[in-house]
Amino acid sequence: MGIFMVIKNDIRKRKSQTVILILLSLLITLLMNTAVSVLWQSREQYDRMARKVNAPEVINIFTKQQKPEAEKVYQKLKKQTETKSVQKEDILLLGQDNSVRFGGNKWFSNGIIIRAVPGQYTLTEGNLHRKGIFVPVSLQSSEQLKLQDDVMLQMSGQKKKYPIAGFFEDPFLGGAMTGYKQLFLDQETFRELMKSPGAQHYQASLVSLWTKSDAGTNFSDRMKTLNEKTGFSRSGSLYMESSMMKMSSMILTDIFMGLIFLFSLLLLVIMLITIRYLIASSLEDDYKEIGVLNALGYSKRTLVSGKMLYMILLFILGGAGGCIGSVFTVSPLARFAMDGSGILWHGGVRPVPVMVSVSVMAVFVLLVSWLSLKRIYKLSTIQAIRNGKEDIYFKKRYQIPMERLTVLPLPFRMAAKNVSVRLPQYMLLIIVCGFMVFSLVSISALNENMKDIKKTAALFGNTDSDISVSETFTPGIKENDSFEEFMKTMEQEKDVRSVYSSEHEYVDMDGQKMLLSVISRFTDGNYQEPLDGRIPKYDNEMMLTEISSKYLSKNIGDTVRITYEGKEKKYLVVGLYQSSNDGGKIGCMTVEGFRKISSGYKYHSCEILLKDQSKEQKVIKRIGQAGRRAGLDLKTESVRDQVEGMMSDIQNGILALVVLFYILCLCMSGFITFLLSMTFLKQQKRDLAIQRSLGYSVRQLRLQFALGFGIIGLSGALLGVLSVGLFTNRMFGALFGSIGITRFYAEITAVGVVTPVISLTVFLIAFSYLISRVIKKYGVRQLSEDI
Amino acid sequence: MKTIIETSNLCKSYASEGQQLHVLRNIDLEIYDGQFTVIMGPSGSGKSTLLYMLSGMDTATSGTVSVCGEPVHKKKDRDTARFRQETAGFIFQQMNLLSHLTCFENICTAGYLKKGRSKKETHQEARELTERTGISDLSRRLPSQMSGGQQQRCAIARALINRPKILFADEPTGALNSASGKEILDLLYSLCRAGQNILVVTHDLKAALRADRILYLKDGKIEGELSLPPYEEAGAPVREKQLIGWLSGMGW
Repeated sequence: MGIFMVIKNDIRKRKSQTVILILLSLLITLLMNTAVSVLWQSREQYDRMARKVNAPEVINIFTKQQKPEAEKVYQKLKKQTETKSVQKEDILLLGQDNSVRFGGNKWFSNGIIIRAVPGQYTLTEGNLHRKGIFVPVSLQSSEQLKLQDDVMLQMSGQKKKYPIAGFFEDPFLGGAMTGYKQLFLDQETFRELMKSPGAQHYQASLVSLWTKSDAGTNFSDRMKTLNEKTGFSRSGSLYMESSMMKMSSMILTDIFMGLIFLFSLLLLVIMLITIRYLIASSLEDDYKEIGVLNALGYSKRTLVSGKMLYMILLFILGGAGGCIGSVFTVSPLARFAMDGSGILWHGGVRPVPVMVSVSVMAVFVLLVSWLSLKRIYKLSTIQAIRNGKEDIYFKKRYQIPMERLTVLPLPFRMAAKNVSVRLPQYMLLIIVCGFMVFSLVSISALNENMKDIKKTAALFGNTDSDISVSETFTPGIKENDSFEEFMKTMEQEKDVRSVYSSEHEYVDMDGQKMLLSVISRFTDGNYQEPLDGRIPKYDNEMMLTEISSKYLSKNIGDTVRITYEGKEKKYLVVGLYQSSNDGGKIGCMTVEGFRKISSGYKYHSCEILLKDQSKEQKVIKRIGQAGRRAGLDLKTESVRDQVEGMMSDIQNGILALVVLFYILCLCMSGFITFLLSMTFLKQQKRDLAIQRSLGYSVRQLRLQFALGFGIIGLSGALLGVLSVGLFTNRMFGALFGSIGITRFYAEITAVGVVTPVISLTVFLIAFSYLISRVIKKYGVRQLSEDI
Repeated sequence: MKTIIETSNLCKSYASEGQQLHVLRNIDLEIYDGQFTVIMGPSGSGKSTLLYMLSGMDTATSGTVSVCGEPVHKKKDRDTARFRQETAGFIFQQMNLLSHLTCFENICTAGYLKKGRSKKETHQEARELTERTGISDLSRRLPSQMSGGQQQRCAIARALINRPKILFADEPTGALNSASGKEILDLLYSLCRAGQNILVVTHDLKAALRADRILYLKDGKIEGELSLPPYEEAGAPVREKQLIGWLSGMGW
């Protein structure tokens, strides 16, 4: 009964504190529940969808020339005990030479696999039995497609148009960050297309593998054994394991929801600090009452338990509200975060992870409350009664002599003095502002990184380009140097800044099938800036990403054995860099270096960067002329818009997060400023009344009070900016490490720093000024009553 | 004699637990220039409330108050603040120094408000006042590091920093021991003789002894007044007897 009396008393005495703490708990549990539910379920849904469509654990694509090799590997795989099932399927491999076009006029530059529609796929829209082409939902949103839109396939001069008959979820290759996409044709149309003359060169094989999970080993061990026995990973042109596909599909979901999760953790820390402060200041207010209750027979344990129960009760009330609220927020946020995953959101709030996260937060609330309340045990009854209204804040104080602050206006001087002597009280708000400025500057820096299309593209594994030029494959024509001649011609053009080629080949590096970038010239366009060491200059040198370096246990100065089409050479590692291609498992070298193992290697595509974007059409015309002179059949595409389009989803997502974070930070600042203003006003009531009696006007006192909050905001901002310098790159490094960006350099700009600092400070000043209207009531009568 | 404070039908009522409490009832009084005026009366008679009304610290329920010809009963916040800066200095029983400011800063806090005076001049004025009030060596001390008497001297210096026309004091010796109380009263008296108008509310006979004029308040009304010749230390015992006699007649 005693405990309930303490709780009732606390609620009655601290109504605004009670409401604000409930709101804070609601906001935090809402965000946390949403982030946890989406993070947890998106992966579950991916796995469920992968099971539903019977997605293979490993795939390998074999080109037309590699078909005999595909047959051999297929036969070997079939005989292995680790193999549960293996399937070889005829497919068409298009796209990298711009042979697929959706709806409008732009060619699609990613790789496209055309397959006959598998029966196990279900459609989100359309009819599986209708004739036509089936497109993944990720392309539906990125290319803004609808049913019956045309998809054009161009193969060796033969053009075929198919209407879109349906859209399907593809956990396999559907993610926005997966380089390849698959399209399905109905069985009959696919058979007809395979027989057409234009399709002959594009015929390829897809070998899909499922392993036995009951073989007593884990998946990587099984694959290691299978690859050793069959050479599966070393063969073919695109070897991908399910873990890599899953990572590519879920990467944007993980980044967006990871950022929201981190932000809700930050808010939780702020709430815990607030609770600690509120308990400390309420204890100081209640010393006398504690002493009296203690004298009346209430045990200290009852008093502590009552106050702890009060805190946890508020958290539970807010938490329950947050749980209910998250039912409504989880779907829109999940749909936004999973837009590029290739699968649609089908879930809701998940009770188990939600209960776990709420329970963990509740434990933290209890722990912080107990740590703050344990000083009650040290307080003797008489001491408590006597200390009822002592100025205990001012025992240790730092004094700034006001005479030295003469250059400042009076309200500012008074505010500075007030803050300096009450620093421990204001410290909470300084830390809170620090946290907020840190998160706002960090997310703004990320937004800045994303604003520059070149850097966004580099971050997510694309190269920067204005015009992409590729050679159309013509059967029967032998490889020659014409394309390279063409590249040299284009380099001479006065409107061209740079011409380079960056093509990828899967090679065997020290026994591991890995991607290798073959680069004609290292420029600012392909962003292969080394983190350590230097870029490769000679034909026996290469660079590895930091992830590849760890994966292969090779560092600068070591050699890597590279095998390609049966030839093997050793290359010296001269530098380390970072790339998100293939999750960071990639290396790069010059074309001269690659020609040591593939002597006949020729370029078939290049990227052109312009000095002036407005000259694009003029340059495209010149490309056509130069191509005709060199006897090349070229496909030229303005890719600036395309790259920008591809990256705009990521940019918009980050921008939406920036806006969300700003709103949440301002709400949070509002809650905390309100709480602290009310507490400070109560504590400073006497001083404010004295100042009024001396001739200070209410306006002056309000200004003085609000300026104190401004000083706090600026001090917190300073702390936040310092934290940005120390932790932002590390935080994003940890977040992006999973996609291969091991060292993240945030683009911290003056605007990115000044905007949150100014907006937070102005908000604090304005909000606290508004709240301080209560000073009007502080007159000499209140002063004499207080005393 | 010139009137510096004048009230007409001054009333103050409070609503307390559903009942109307009339603290001051139709008070008409005049306070004259150059005098040390004391208001006395039993507890709950409305002395402090009257002082708050006269000094513009609180507003009247009805009636008027004018100080130096200026009405103070219907001032806006900004005008009230200016009135406190220029016309009225106030000393509290509990000193009410700002605990986070040093003695010197407490004095200057009020001084900075005065228009047309530089900060340097304010500091100079504050230094002179600390010397006059005998606390020049305590300038850097915080209130918690000073005795009650020293704190009250600081409060007096603070109240005088803007050279107010009237110094109001609410039980200035109420929280002090007799020695400190005497020092404060001597200080106030010397200030009055130097031309400062002083209006004191007190229970203390020693304080009342220094008065040129005493007003007796009972149940919210002025019950009587006594004018005395200028105070001299030597004549204090005789004056005390006369005062006690008068107060007894008032029902003290």
